[in-house]
Amino acid sequence: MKRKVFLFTSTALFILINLFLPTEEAHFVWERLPIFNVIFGFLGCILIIVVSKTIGKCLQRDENYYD
Amino acid sequence: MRITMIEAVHPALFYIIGSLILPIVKRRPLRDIFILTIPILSFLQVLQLPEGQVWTIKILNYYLLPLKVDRLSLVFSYVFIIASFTGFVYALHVKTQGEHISALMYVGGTLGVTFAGDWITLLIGWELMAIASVFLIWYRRTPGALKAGFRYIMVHLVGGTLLLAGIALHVGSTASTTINRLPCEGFSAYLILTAFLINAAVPPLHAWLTDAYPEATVTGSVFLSAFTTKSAVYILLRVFPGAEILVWLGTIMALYGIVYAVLENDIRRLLSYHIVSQVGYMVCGVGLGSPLALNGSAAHAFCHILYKALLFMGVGVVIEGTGESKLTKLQGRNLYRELPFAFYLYMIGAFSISGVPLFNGFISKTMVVTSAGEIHRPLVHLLLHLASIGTFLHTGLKLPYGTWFGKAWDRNKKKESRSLRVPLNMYVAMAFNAALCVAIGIYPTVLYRLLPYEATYHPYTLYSVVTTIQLLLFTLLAFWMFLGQLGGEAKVSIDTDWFYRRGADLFFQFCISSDAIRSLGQRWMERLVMFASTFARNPWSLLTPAYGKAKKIASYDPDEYRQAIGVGIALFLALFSLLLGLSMNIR
Repeated sequence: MKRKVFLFTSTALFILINLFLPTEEAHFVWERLPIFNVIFGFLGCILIIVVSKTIGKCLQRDENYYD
Repeated sequence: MRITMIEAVHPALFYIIGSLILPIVKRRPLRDIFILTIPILSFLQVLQLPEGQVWTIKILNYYLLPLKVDRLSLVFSYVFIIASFTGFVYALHVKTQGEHISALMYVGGTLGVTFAGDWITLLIGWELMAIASVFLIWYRRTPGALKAGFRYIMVHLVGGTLLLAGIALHVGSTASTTINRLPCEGFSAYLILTAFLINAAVPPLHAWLTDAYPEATVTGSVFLSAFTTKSAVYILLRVFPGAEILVWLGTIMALYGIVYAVLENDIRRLLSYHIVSQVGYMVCGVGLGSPLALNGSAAHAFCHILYKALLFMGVGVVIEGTGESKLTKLQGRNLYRELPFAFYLYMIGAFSISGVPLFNGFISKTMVVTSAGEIHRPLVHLLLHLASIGTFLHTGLKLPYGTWFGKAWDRNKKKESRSLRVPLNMYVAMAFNAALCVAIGIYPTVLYRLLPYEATYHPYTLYSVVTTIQLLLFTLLAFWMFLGQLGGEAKVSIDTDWFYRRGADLFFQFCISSDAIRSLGQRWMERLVMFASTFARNPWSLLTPAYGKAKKIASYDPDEYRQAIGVGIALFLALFSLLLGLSMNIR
């Protein structure tokens, strides 16, 4: 519960900051979305964990596999 | 007034001659002073080298340029010498002379590569690096280190041979030994590029790094993390800037390291996968080829050497103190109580590699990423951003959390409370590197002034600082939510080294089994002969079975592997003559 409150308030706070952030430095359209970096950081991290763990199911072996 | 004698010495010679003198300098304070003087002298010498100076020697109709000074070689030589200095401070307590000798040789080879103006000098430096560095692995003196060292040197000798072949074809066809920018086409260029890619640890040719670095000595891995891959980046910058293939190899590389790092349990192997990932940014920058991207690659190599050495030093302190290198063994020990300084200094390195503003990774990594945006490569830009997230996730969060804090993976484990003694010089070296990371992060102009190409870049804009902080904070949030699933697992992940680690077994099995087919035939023929011979025997023996039956004695058989080895050699000879034939056709 605490985590959810923290998540939503911080997301809202950052979107609010992003609304006033000058974005002429952004190179691509999606970077101008006020929510982009928040979503990308959060989902990107989850994506990395999930994809790696899935690949890991095929690649991981017992510790003394090579011995 | 300048000292003319010192002016005429190649910076690499300080290290190489130093390594030859070191065996007779054994008394402790004298030896330590001697070792630390070498990088200082070499650095002073490099500062005196005028830009554009070239030494030319003519041997057998070929011009050798053992020293060629330009902005690119200077910026790399500065950081190599600084890294060797802090590396030696970190290793000062090590009693084994051989380790220091091989480290000195290794740095000497690296500087030889850095200042090489011709292909032949480059090759000599290249091979010297490979041969000297393998001892930093072998001096660990464990069976694992011995085997990993053999695999390491085999891969590098293959790389060296490819480089030699490429150079021979190139010099033969152009009659010029000078290192110049090469177009990425033609057999000789491919051979040279492959050799460079092996040393840069580009997947699938990267497995030597993640296999061997975690097996090296604690102090040796600090040296290893700095020189081989970054000298490869340097030579790629010189020879193949703007090669399109490097853009994609670099991007894939940046993500490849991230994926494996999630699965990794050994803390030094986790950091090794992050070398692969970080060198990906540099390789990508070389491929992008704009002045900003090339500067970004050079700057990122510079910063990477400093913070990666710092990270290896940090986990080195943990391994030196506890003797453990697995997250599963370290989790729950609450090492923070015992090694708090190592944690704080490690975190400076971790913030640097993650590109937190005010640390040096931020001012160099963003150069490469921004240049991808500037020349409009959306996918590369996005994927490099994704790799930054992964970097922070592992090096900045998972590893330090698991190592210094973390919940016990094995709940039955007893709490050990022996005091951990770590030599002071290790902390001194870490503090030195940490100070450099922060100093360059706060005042990047000091590094930007040294960069070889004409490009202006300002890292500290409101937009980039705010977006970077957001990205990292939300990575932290996701890490927090997934905390339970990110602990180490006592497993290994198979990587491309599987092909030669298992492949060697399979090849040997094949050679033996090919012999087995022959011996099967032979056995049946023998039986046939034995059966036939019974008819030629004394008829009396057929009636008294005990006669003539001698017991066979199992003993050493010198012919056991003879056939198998013969088949192996025959296959190698066939491959060699095939390659010889091919290369003759190409000429």
